[in-house]
Amino acid sequence: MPDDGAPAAAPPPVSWSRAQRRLHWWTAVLIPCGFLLAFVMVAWPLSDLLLKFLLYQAHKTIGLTVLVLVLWRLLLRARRGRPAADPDLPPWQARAAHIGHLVLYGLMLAVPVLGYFVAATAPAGVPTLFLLVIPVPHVVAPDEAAFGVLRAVHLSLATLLVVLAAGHAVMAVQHHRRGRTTLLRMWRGAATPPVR
Amino acid sequence: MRRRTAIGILIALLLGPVGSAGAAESYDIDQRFGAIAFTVRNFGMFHTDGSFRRFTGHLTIDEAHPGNTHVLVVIDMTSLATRWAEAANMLRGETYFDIAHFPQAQFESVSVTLTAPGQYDVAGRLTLRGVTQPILLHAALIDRHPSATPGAEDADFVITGDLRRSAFGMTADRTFVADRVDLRINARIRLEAPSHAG
Repeated sequence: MPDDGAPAAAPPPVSWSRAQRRLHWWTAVLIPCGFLLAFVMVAWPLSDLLLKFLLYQAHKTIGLTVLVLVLWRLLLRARRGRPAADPDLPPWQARAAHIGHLVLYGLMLAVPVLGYFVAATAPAGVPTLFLLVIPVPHVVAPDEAAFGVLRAVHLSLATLLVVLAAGHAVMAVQHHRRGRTTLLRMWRGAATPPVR
Repeated sequence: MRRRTAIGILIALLLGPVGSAGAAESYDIDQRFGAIAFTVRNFGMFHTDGSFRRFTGHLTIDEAHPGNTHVLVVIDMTSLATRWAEAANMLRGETYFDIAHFPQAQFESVSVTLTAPGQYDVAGRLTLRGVTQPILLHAALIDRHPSATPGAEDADFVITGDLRRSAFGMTADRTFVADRVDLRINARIRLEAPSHAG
């Protein structure tokens, strides 16, 4: 495997590694959970203070977990690479997929980072407790104006992320139904094409 | 509330040595420099705080009988403020301060004891949500300095204490908001030194 800086020489791996596959599916499960939880926690009545607090901490824990998992995925991808796209894939589709994946990675990083700043600037001044017990320091102070802007951007990008991820899933299923190994190799690591 | 009362008491004690008149003297507590702040732990992991911004206080000092020092503070509960407006709204509601039914709280001292130079124990009664309970506050004189008003002198006090909110019937969110509430009151009393100097 090439060291940092000279990855071009090695041939791409024939399949996704087990770690890459597991990390992919964990983010695939956590992102919709965190997204749905956001609407529940915001709507939950303030009079039920403890549960509202717990819902927010669960959302924050999911977001921070996704951030760590995505950084891990990027590290593996940088060190190991990814399987080559199918050679018969039309170039425009390959390019669209590449751009789509770049945007997905960017959003998976940006949404949790923005979420952290939303939590830090929130006027309520509630700390971020990873897994409910590990305090995550806030590097900025509560700021109502910044909070309003950050919250809107966080929500917009999160919505875009979920929509793109859904499109990503639909495309994977479409490829699968047309006999490609796209879904199987992410599910089982198998590179054998299904029988048409 | 308690803090304000304590402040009044402290002021009275402080004035004692300054003034020379034998009769009881009374002072209004200057709330422009004061704040009644409270802090409560949440979930054992962090705390939230708030304050009351409007209160009126009256301090009576009888130099001949320091034990007669008396403080009465009335707090305007609608002046409740927190960093987060929604929290203040919640605290004004029925399950907390129930301001619609109890717009005022009151502290009245029962006894003031000098425990060390500049340190006072102020025992009194706090009425909150219509419930009156005994409370002990500790007042410390932290500074005396010339006032912005020529010839006068300011005395700054910090008054601390704590209470159990459940004793006043405030039992909401016990799983999340601790029962114990810490109080910290900053108070300033203006001593009109020239008129009392002896």
